[in-house]
Amino acid sequence: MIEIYLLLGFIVIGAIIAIESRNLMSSVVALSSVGLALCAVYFMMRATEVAIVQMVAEIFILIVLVRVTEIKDDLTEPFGGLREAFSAGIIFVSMLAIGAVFITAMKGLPEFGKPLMTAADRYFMQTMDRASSVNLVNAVLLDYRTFDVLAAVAVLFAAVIGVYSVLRIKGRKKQGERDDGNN
Amino acid sequence: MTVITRTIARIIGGIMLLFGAYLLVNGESLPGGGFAGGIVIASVYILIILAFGRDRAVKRLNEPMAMMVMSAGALMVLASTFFSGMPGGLDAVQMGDIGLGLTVIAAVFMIFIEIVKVRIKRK
Repeated sequence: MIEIYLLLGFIVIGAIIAIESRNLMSSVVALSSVGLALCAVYFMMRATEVAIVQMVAEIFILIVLVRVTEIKDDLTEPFGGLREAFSAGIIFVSMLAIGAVFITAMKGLPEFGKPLMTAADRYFMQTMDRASSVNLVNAVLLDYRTFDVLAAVAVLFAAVIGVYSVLRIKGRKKQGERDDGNN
Repeated sequence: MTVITRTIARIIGGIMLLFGAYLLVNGESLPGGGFAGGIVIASVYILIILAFGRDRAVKRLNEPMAMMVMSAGALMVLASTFFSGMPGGLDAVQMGDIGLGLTVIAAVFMIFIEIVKVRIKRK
């Protein structure tokens, strides 16, 4: 159990590095290390199906991010002065306040794993007779909850349409052109 | 890329295709299924682009075919919620699984093609 907490601490540190780093490439590498540690956490919790999908999707996302951050921007602006210090202080105080609110809210939650959900019991008992696959995770995904998979397919379609509409080449307007039906 | 990379990419691409198909088809008895198998098969095309360069890989694309494959996969998932199986002997779970794999392959392929085709101007 202690390894899961160590990996969670690693995930938090990696996420902070990914946000605060000035170099785009190091941010991408830190983000991918967060995904790798999350995959290890899934393995330790005995969820192999989710771990496989996480690992494969993380590899794909890493390749896409490395390709996209080929854009070279100049990120080194001068940082300093009274105004930046004041805004940094306000951000720090507000983060402390939000953290205090979260900690007092989480004290009221039930413990990890105490009230066990009983819908999963029914899925366990009935899979061998009624559903048509031995793999319980796929049976839940594709037999008991197929509508959720249909919603996930709709999300995939939306992602493809979004990428197509942002990265078009042919349909780009020149500056000053209006977007009516005559063009 | 060098000759070594291209040769290894040819061999490894074939093995990756076989492994992805294995993950896809054995979704009902092993961990795997539609999502994992679909992304592994789509990664073969990413390997080909990385090893052989974008010009050679973008030359012979067929985007309407990819869109049709994605729509066919989505229709298979929709059909597996209503019917109880195809007449060939597949169950509803297997049909939904293969349809999901087809959708994921085509979606990942199309996203990566769009990202590759954009040539970013450097100032």
